[in-house]
This record gives sequence, C-alpha cells and structure tokens, in this order.
Amino acid sequence: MVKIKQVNVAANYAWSPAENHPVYIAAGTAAQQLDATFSSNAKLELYAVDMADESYTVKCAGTIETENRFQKVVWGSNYTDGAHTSGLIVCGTDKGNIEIYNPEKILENEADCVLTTSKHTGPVRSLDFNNFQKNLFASGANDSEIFIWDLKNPTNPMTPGAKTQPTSAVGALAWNKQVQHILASTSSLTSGPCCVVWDLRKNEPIIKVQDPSGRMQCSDVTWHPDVATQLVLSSEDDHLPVVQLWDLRFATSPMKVLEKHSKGVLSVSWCKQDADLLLTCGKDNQVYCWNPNSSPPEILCELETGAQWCFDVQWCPRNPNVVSTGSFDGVIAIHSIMGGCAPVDSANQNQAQRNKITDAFGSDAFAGEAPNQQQQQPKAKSVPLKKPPKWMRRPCAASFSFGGKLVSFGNNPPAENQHQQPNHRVVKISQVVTEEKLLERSAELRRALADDAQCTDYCRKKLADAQNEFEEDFWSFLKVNFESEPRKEFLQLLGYNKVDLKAKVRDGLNSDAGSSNGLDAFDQIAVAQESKQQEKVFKPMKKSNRKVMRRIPTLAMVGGISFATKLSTYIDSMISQALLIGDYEAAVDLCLHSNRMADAIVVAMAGGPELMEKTQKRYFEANESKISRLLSAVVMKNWGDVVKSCDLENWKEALASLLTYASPDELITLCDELGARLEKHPDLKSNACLCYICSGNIEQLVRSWNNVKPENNSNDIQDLIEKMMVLHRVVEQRSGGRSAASMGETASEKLSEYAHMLAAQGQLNAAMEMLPASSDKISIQILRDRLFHSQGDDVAGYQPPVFPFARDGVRGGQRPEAQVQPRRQVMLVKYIGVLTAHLFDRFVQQPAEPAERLPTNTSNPTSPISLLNQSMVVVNIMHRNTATTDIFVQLISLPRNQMYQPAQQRPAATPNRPQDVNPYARPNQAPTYSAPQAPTSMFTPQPVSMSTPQVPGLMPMPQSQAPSYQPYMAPVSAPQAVPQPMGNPPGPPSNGYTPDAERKHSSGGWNDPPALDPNRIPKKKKPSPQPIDTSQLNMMTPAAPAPTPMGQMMQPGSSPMMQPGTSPIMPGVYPSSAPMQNIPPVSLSPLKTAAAPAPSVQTGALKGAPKAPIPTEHQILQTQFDELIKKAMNQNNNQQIKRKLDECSRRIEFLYDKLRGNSLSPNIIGGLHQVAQSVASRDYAGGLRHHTHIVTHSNFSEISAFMPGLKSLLQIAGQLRI
Amino acid sequence: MVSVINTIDTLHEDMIHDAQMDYYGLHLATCSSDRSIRIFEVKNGTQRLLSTLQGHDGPVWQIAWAHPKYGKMLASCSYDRKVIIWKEQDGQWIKLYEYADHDSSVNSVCWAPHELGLILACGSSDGSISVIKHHGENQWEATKINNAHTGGCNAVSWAPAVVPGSLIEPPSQNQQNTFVKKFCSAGCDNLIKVWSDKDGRWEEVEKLQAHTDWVRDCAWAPSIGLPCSKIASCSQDRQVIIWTSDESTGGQWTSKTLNEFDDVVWHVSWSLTGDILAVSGGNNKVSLWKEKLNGDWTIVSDIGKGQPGSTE
Repeated sequence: MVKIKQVNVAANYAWSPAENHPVYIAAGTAAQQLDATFSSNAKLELYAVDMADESYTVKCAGTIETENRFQKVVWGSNYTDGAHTSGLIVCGTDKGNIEIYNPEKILENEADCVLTTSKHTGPVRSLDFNNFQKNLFASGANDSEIFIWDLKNPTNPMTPGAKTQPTSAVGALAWNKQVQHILASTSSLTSGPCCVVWDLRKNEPIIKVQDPSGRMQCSDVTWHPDVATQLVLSSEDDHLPVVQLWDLRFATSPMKVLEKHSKGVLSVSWCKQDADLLLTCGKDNQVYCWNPNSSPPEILCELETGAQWCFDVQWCPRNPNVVSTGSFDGVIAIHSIMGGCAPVDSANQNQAQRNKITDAFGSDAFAGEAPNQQQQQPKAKSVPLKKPPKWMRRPCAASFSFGGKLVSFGNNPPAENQHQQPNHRVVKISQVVTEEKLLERSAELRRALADDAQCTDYCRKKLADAQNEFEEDFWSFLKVNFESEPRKEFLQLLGYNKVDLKAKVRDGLNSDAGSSNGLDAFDQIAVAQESKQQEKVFKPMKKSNRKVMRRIPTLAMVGGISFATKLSTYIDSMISQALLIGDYEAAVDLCLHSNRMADAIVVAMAGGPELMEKTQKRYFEANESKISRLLSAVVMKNWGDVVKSCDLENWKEALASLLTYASPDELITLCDELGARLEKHPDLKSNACLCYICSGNIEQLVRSWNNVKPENNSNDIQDLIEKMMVLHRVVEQRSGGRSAASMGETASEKLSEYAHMLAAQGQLNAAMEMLPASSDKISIQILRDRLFHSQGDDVAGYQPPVFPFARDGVRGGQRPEAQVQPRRQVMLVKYIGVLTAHLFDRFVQQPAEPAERLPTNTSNPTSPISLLNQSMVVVNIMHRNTATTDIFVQLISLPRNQMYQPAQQRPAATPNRPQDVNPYARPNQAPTYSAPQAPTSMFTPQPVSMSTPQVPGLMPMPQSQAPSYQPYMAPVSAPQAVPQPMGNPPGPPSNGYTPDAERKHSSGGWNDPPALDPNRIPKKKKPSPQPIDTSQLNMMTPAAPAPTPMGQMMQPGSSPMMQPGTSPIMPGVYPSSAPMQNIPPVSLSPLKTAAAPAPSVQTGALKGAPKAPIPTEHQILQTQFDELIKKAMNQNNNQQIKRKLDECSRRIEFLYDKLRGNSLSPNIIGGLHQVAQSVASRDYAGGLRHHTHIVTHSNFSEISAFMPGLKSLLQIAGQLRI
Repeated sequence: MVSVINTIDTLHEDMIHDAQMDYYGLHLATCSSDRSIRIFEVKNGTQRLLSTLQGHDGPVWQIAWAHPKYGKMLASCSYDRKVIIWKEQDGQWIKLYEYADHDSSVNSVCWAPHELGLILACGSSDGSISVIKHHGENQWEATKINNAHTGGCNAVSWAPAVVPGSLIEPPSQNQQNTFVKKFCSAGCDNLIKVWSDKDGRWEEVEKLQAHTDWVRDCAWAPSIGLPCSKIASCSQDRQVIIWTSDESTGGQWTSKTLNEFDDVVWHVSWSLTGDILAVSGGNNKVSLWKEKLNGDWTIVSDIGKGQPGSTE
C-alpha cells in the first residue's frame, strides 16, 4: 500500500456512495479530538478525491460551519428520484443530535441542515445506512439506544427491540449485506453480549454473540459482503487485540481469529468488491489487509501509519484500489493498495503538517522532539497485495484475430457449471460472419467464373435481377461477350440490327418503286413518318435493349461537324444505318435511289470490286450528299478522327461504327478513347463503362466506376467485383487463354480490398482466389502471405508466397549481454575451434588421402594446427583491408611457402575481422568468392583438394536465421551504388536505409555468420572430397588460374552500374573496406590462447550443420534455372560456352544461397519468379527483359553476385535455342 | 452469425485472463492466474499444446504476439510486476528479456506496429507506462512515463502506423522515421490519454474524459485508409465509448457512447478491418457492434452468457 493523498483535518468522515461521481470525502470536525489550534469550531467539509489529479493534496470543495462536533458521519445514497441526487450526509453529534445535510448544498457552501433530531440522549457514535432500502438508517448512542430512521418519515424512529441489558454505549452498527432486515450492534461492555443481531421483522434480537473469553471489548462490527451469516468483530482491548470472524450458524465460538495486532483493534472494513480483503487498524499504529477466508487467515499487506493510531479505516466504495485511514494526528490519509511509488511531493506535505503543529504550539513546544521524523526517510517501495484483488482478475475477453475469428473465454462462477468441465479453462475460437449476403454473392460469382456456360447464365441472371438501367446495360454488354459474335451483339444492343435494316431497305425501295413521284414521295413519307418508323425499327428488339435504344438520338451521324446535327431525312439515316452495320450493297442501293451517285460509288469502292462495278453502271444519276464525312470515315477507315471529334450525345453511333469497322487492335484503343471522353461528360460518364466493356479494359472500368459510384459499402464493391471478374474472364477468353489479363493498379486495389473483406468473413480461400496473381504491390503480397499461411502451410494450387517482410531476427540471451567485444572473440575462437576440429576430423577419418593430397612442402601436414594456419591465411587473405583483386594478384604471384608468412606474423588481427566484414559481404560477394579459389590452387596441385573444401567451409557458422538487413521495399536506383574514392567514408549501399542502420546490423548479432556469406558453405562443404563432379571442376577452373575470368564475370552485371573512371577498385569489392576502418584493432592474445585448446572440442560440428533448404516457394527457381543449365550443357559443344555455363551455374548458386538465407527483397524475388516463368515458356528474350527490370530497380549489392550469371545463362539459352 | 470452430481446454489451473492468436491465426497463447502461459497450435478445428511457459511469479494478465518478421515472439505481463519477452528459438521457447522496473502489477502489454520497429508498451498499476525498445543484439532500452494514470494504468494500445498527410497510402520502408508514434492508455483515473513521441520523449497530447469510473480497456482501431482515428474504450461504469478524431478537421476528439451495458465492461477488440467491435462484459457476454451509416452503433450479434459462440 502506498499513500497517494492526504487531507489534513481532524475529522470523522465518510466516502461518497459508490454510485456518486466524482468521489468526495465528507469530513465533520471530530468531537473526540482537538486539532492543533485548539479551535472549538465545528465544520463539515467536502473534499474532492480526484484520481486524475496527480497532486498529493486533496482540494476542499465545500465547507459549512456547524454548531456541533461530530462523532460519526455516514453518507447515504440517493433514495428518491431526483430530490437528493447525491444522497444525504447523516452526522451523529456529541450532543446526541442527528443532523442531516445535503452534500450539494455543502458544495455551494450553504449551511442548510435538512433535518436535525434530538432523540438520542448521549453522543451518537454509530450510524449505518441500510444496504437495500436506502432511506433507512440506524443510529446508536449511549445507554444501548438504537433507532431505525426512515428518511421519508424521519419524525418517528423505531427501535429494533428491547434494549440489551446491561445497557452500554452502542459502539457500532452494521446492516447485513444480504438480508435487509438484519442489523448488528456492538457493546463495549465486557460483561454481557458483545454483539447483538436484531431481526427487524420480529423486532427482537435473534442472536447475542458472546465471546467465550469474556474479555472482548467490541470496537467495530462488519458483515461478510457475500455470506449472510458471517460477521467480523474487533476487540479494542490491548490484552486481546484480535479480530474474530463469526458464523452465526455456529455462534458458540468464533470461526477464525485474526491475530497480529499488538494492541487493541479500533476499526475493521470489509471490501465490498472482494470478500477476500479485510482491513483492520489498531492502536499499534498498524493497518493490516487480511484474507479472512483463507485458513489460516493470511495477511496480504501491511501499512505502517506513522506515529499515530488510526481510529478508522475504510474502503473507498467506488474505487476499491483506494483505502483511507483516519488518524489521531489529524490526518485522513488515502492509500492505494496497488503499491507503486508515492507522488513526489509527499515528503513536503509531511513537512507542512509538522510545521503547522509547530506553529500552533510555538516553536519551542516540540523542540528536540521529532515524532514524525521517521517518515522523512525515503520509504522502501511498497509492495502490493500478495494476491491480486478480484477486480483485477479479468474474467472474460473476446479478441479478434485474422480471418474474422474471435477468441473468447469466460470464467463463469463455479456454481453454474458444476456438471461440466471447469469452464474457466476453456477458450473458444469462433468464426464471425457479418456479411452473409456478400459471401453468398461471392460464392455465386466464383461458381460463375468456373466456366463459360456458368458465366453466361450468371450474366443472364444478373440481367434479369438488374434494378436499374445502368445495371441492365452493364450486364447486357457483359453477357454478349459470351455469344458467338460479340460485336454484332454489341451493335444490336446499341440499336442496330442488320436483318431489320435489310427489311427496311427492301420496304423502302419497294414502296418507292410503286410511287410515281419517286424520291420526293419517299422523302415525304420518310419525313412524315420518321418517328413512327423508328419505333417500328426498334420494336423487334429485346425488352432489355429497348431502353438502350430510347436514348439513341435518332439516327447515326458519323463524322466531324455533321455529327452535331441530326440527319433530317429518312434516306440519309437509312444509308447511315446500312453503313454502320457494313451493308455496302444496301447503302449503294439507297444512294443510287436517292440520286447520290458519288456516294454510291465511294461506298461501292469500299464494298469491293464487284459492287463497284454494279454501282458504276448506275453512275449517271448523281446527287449531293450530306453524309460525306461518314463516307470518308468508312472509306478511309479514319476512325480515330471520329472518336475524337464526334458529339458525345451520339456516343452510341460512334461506338457502333467502331464495332463495325475497327480492327480488333484499334477497337481497344478507340473504345478506350471514347470512354475517356465520355467520362469527362457529366451526364454520360456512366456510359464510359460500356465502352470499356467493349474494349475489355478492366482498369479503366474500375476507375470510371469509382467516378460514378464512389460509395464503398460491401454491396457496392461486390457489384463492381462481379463486373470486373466477368470482364476479366471475357478478356482472358478473347485472348484465347493465352495470358491471364493482368490487373491494373486501381483494379488490384479493389480486388485486394475485396479480398480483405472476404478474409474478414473467414473466406480465406476465396480471398486468395480474388487476389490479383501478378501484383507486386506490397500490400497484396502481405495479404497473400497471410492468407496462405493462415490456411495451414499447404494450400492446394498455390505456391508458398514469399515472406513479404524483412526478417529481423532477435536472438536470445543465454550469453552475457554487456560486452560485445569479448563475445565476438568467443565466437571467433569457437569457429576456429570448429574449423580445426573439422580439419582434425578429416585427418583422422581419412589418413590416406591427406597424405597424397596435401602439398609436400607443408611443414607438418598432419598437424591440425598447421592446417589452422593455412586456414588463417585464407581468412587473412579474404579479409585484408585491400581490394580483393589485389590480394588475388598477390596470391597468384606468391610462391607457396611465402603464403604462410602473413599468417604467422599476424594471425590474430586478421581472422578477427570476418565478424565485422560479414554484413558487407554481400556487396563484394563475387570477388571474395574468387579469392579463396586462388589459394586453393596454390595449396594443392589439384583443383579440388583436401584443403579446398574445408577452407571456405570454416567461415560460416551454421545458422538458421538470415541476419541480413533487408529493406522493406528495397527502393534502389542503380547509379547510387557507384563507389566513392577510397579513403572517404564510404557511402552506404543506398538501398534506402541509413548508414547507421547498416552499421547497427553489421556490428552483428552474435549469431551472424562470422565470415562471408552463409551461402558459401554448402558448395564447399562436400560431405567427402572424393566425388567430384565435372561441372564442379569446370566451375573452379576459370577462377583459379588468373584474374581475367574474374574481370569477365564482373562485366555483365556490374557494367551498367559502374561509372567509368571513378575508381580502379571494383564496386563490388569496395564496400568491404568500410567496416574495416571502424574496427578497433583486436589484441592477439585472446585468440591465441583460445585457439590452442580449440581442436579438442566440437569435433564434427561443421559436418553436422546441414545446408538449409531453399524455401519451398522458391524451389521452382532452382528447378527452372538448373534445368536450363543442364539443357544448355547437353546442347552445347563449344568449350568457351561451356566455361561460361559453368560460371553461370556457379553464380546462380549464390542466388540459391540467398534464397536459403531469405535475404532477398520481395521485388527481386518477384522478378526472379517472372524470369523463371519466362524460362519455363522458353521466352528467353522476355526473361532478359525481366532481368533488366530487376537490375535497374534493385540494390546492386544485393544482386550483383548472381544476376550476371543469370543474364549470360539466358543469353546462351537464347543462342542455343533450347 | 457466430459459430464455434474450436473449443480448447487449456488445462490452466486457475482463471484465464487473456487469449491471443498470432498473426496467421495458427497459434493460440493463453495466460492465467496459475502463472503460466500456454501455447497451442490450432489447425482445422484441432489443437495441440506446444509449450507451457513458466517464469512469472504471479497471475499473468496479458500476452501479445510480436509481428512474425521478428520470429515467434511473445510478450507477457503479470501481477509480479514483470514483463517478459519470450522467443521461440530452435524449437524452444526461451526468455529473451525480462523487464522488472515497475513497482506494481503490470496490467497490459502491446507491441507497436511493426513498421516502427520492435517496441513494446506496458501499463502498470503503479501509474506509469514503460515503452521498451529493441536496439539490436537483444539490447532493450526502456523509457518510462511516470504518473501517467493516478491509481494505475489498465491498458495500452498503439495507433496504427500512418504517415501524417498521407493516410491513404500505406507507408513504405524509407518513410520509417516519419511515422507518427502514438498510443493510447486507459487508467483508474477514469481517463484515456493519448501519448505521442516527440523527439524521443513521450508527451501527453490528449486527455479524454467521459468515463465516470475506471477505464478497463482501450483499443485503437486499425487504419482503414481514412484520415480518421478511432479509439474504443470500456469501463467499470459499464459504458463503451467510441472516440473519434478526424485529422482533416483539426484532430479534435469527440466521444459517442456506444452503449451502456448491465455490467462492468472488461475488454474491447476491433476486427482487423476495423468495422466490428467485440465487447466483453463482466457477465461473460460478448456482443459485436457495427457502425451504421449515420454514425450510430448497432448490435450485430449478442453471444450468450458464458456461451461465446451460440448463434443468434
């Protein structure tokens, strides 16, 4: 417990009732004590106990002067509706009065006593409100007087029964907490009963509790909060400083006795919210918190109150974390039972209190005496209760998790589920579905997408269910895509029907033939009947099309300016219609008939030589034409112009003409263009969607939809998704299933939103289906990963997706934390130990081979230590603070014996470096890789020898987690990777993170691989040296003899990144120098001492470390590329290409290792999968394009090791046409 | 519609106080007054106990899974005043880090959005809040907000990672430093407070006052791409309040009472899409709430007393 606030007032007090907010303490000047000023005034004050207020003091919120001082103060809850909403404060005075106050008036400082009664003869020491009838309270005074008051009728109090004999002062009263008509009262007399329990229905005492010892001087009584028959009595007798727990069913002796106080107990308070908490305070200055229900009763917490007794202890009714104590030094202290630290200003408060007393008595009064001094010492942090109170124990909770799952548990009271398994142990996982309609529709859609027949039915159904014109148009347009001749159907939907028109033409011509006045008459009829005729034309159309038609402004006007005006005559419209549907013959007939010879001829030219011939025969009757533009468009096939310049009111005509004439390729762009124009039109924008359906442009469809219907409830999205997906299917079908139509960004976004919605309803698989397959959007990748794995690790039909986050492995703490440097050394020693052990192992296991294979000039070939030295040379060489090429050259030129020199001279300093170098190993992978190759050929004559496999093998430690820092999206542009001149602090590899971050990582988790890349292990670590396959041999050869091949291999990948002339040092090599500069030199000794015993430990540790598998989702990459290499090898006879292939294979191995290490960013991996796909479909040019894309969009250092290899592989594959 | 798909007998020897699924919904962690944490594999309606983590000396109140990019990692807090970060390493759960700098019960732990790094907020009954940040190599640094809630802090919940100004687009990696680091906390002072990181210091930027009793829990709603923040809070006063701040209109917080329940409300949890709120009350009732277009909240499902999962 810790004191959190204090009120400096010598008072009897009461907390405001639990239902009141904010919380107050009502403090009435205590009758039994004098304050420091010896003032005889009396006050009743309200103090606001505001937990949100961080300060230690409690503000006085209202004060009234009163006539009398108080023996007891209680605060009753509101018992009426409205009158006294904050309840009433009832005070017992030392003069025998009971005074009742309205706290709201006190807050206004109005001394307005609601009621004063003077029934009692002596000081009223005890008061208690009934727990059930809030208008009832009991009062007790001297001479065993007890009254029960009804606030509704306060004039006539009743008595609970005949006075107890012998009479004594009533020390305390308590109403039962469970049964409303039971009241307990105590007597301070030791003779007679110490506690009487009254039944107010019978108006008599029902039980008199008599302490068997006969020495109980009862100071306080309180009922068990939950058990009706139990109560607690406290004894203020210093010789019997106990608290007794009685059960009235066995009222001969106390059930339990709480013994701890060393002097009389003055007050008890039982926590209403948790019956396991009982507070007692006594004359020994102690406050204890008990669990009276445990056996034996246990003290959960204690509180030393300082120099003064507490006469009173109370739980705050509203906030059970808070208890208050009233002490004789004039302080009401407020404590938190939760422990913790006291507010900072508590010490000052105590000081202030002391000063006040000193002031009152004069500074001499307490000279030399400092009773409170002990408080000044910083108290040890107080301890909370041994066991948490009930209200801290969360009994139930329901939390959402991915996929609309709800995890819930509830701890029912044991009574409810006795017959079941204990319910408190059960956790339930439930599926929450709130969008049932959505799921239904989604399932329907997915069924429809299964095949064409389903899809057509689906469209038909949708069309039938369409609620408005827009929907109708939409679905009719989508539906016809599944017909045999969609274009024709589109035309029909737009209101053009070839058959109908033919009939019309025939009719027109016939009627004309019969008339004497020929054309004129025809025209007249036409004009007169225009509207009627049109209706006739449209009548045969399907119901659903009628509405489409109605919006067609009469007949087509195709072509620039004339589009704006409608054709006035029927004949023109007939011609237009004929042209729009491509019926040249009819058009020519009409032209001829109306005397438009030129038109006829022009049309006939477009209609082919035969028609041309026919037309020419009737050429002589020439006539003028208003529709030359349309003709020119038709004849010249200049539809772009039409689309650009047509009046949008006539968009249907324009669309119709496109559908009739435009070539499939043109159609798409032209429809899109028309759609784009329509979108800008305020009234027609919804029609843009129809254009996009014709063109199959999903992306534009979605955008345009967003314009038209920006709302976003689940139904709207479903509406759109249905259309998108059907159109997607259409497009797929149009392209002959060749390639899945890719979704644009907006479309992808919608789909991913939709997938999220489905996932939230638990439809993980459906959500997965809806996700656009080929999106590299990170949000989609994240969702896909989550969907996949949450369905278990095996989802039929899907490759495991790439983990879309940069892993950030934290490894745990068996090792001492503080010292970083020693730890590194330990690691180094360890790995050298492993190395030597490994070498040693080899010697022991294969005694014959080493003898053969080791170079004869090795001073002590069988000693592991000498091998250790060898390996150190390699370590040394590989991590020298020079460009690797230089080392390489040096190595080449060094005689074998000299090779050992550097190692012996400074064996410790250099091998320490690998730790630090490691994180930068990636950028210079290729060169460093080459370096160890060189010593290989020098140590031993054979390309693959004893030492070769082992030497690089010692570098990496087995490790499971990729330590590398991997940027979230790796947004890197290539040119930044250009090296800066040596000597300056090197620029970071510019992949979006700061050098700081890089260094942090580079300084390395202890488990980071000590040297190079982990990738390197596997190749070197052949289980045994004997089976050397040829490809491996070939791979080694080019690297070993001379630096030239290395130069070659740098070229393909790195050349685009390198800026000419910046530095002679290769960019890949360069970064390794950076960490070098930051590393403090490491002393020799630890290594030496540690290295010596190393060989004896960890035998075979290296052997045991298996090469990590490539994550299953990427195995396809390995399969594809290895397959390709193999094929190329088989096809090829050219030695040079063969060498190149070996090089490729070696390079690609780096890729596999990176995959194993999971150290590639998602966009690179995505790109690689695309390359692999291209390889699978033998589209090597495509593969190269993807390759270039990766190279230009990724961090050079991340990919430089393998991308060149991949490139030449693709090139070779292309050349060989495999 | 709510249907039970798994019923897991945890075999805890005392009350359960929290149950949390991991990122993929494959692992369930539970914690209890019996001082232990149990980890189950949950798959296709079956479950298997994988581990029992012992390490706390008091009831374990809450557990929280870290983002999977940090591996399998779990934080727990207990009445024993400790916070423990657990990690599965080579198939074994180990104590990665133990934080014991609180003076009273630690009631709540919550991981920051992974975009911000590996950061854990802890609320304690001692009134303070600790923010523990991983600096690599298992080095952790704690920042403490003292006197955050007088009387104790009951819950902490992080705001989703958004970049100011571009709330629509999920942020990319190189924007890491521009993320607003914010969380809310609930306490026995009846308040919800919003804390924001200002140059490495945590500042109280908001004090939300409407509850009239302890605020038991608070939950910051996931971002759904709107420039609007939402916090749900529940209290001893039996109310659930939804607080909203529209950042486009100056970020003033307004409160709306979702409902007044007939018992103490212990826990609120947003669905991952942020459209449904699960409310758990002391009467063991769970109800699901959804916001209507007019901004009112309506109950979509009331899961019966002690029967989470019964359909309605």
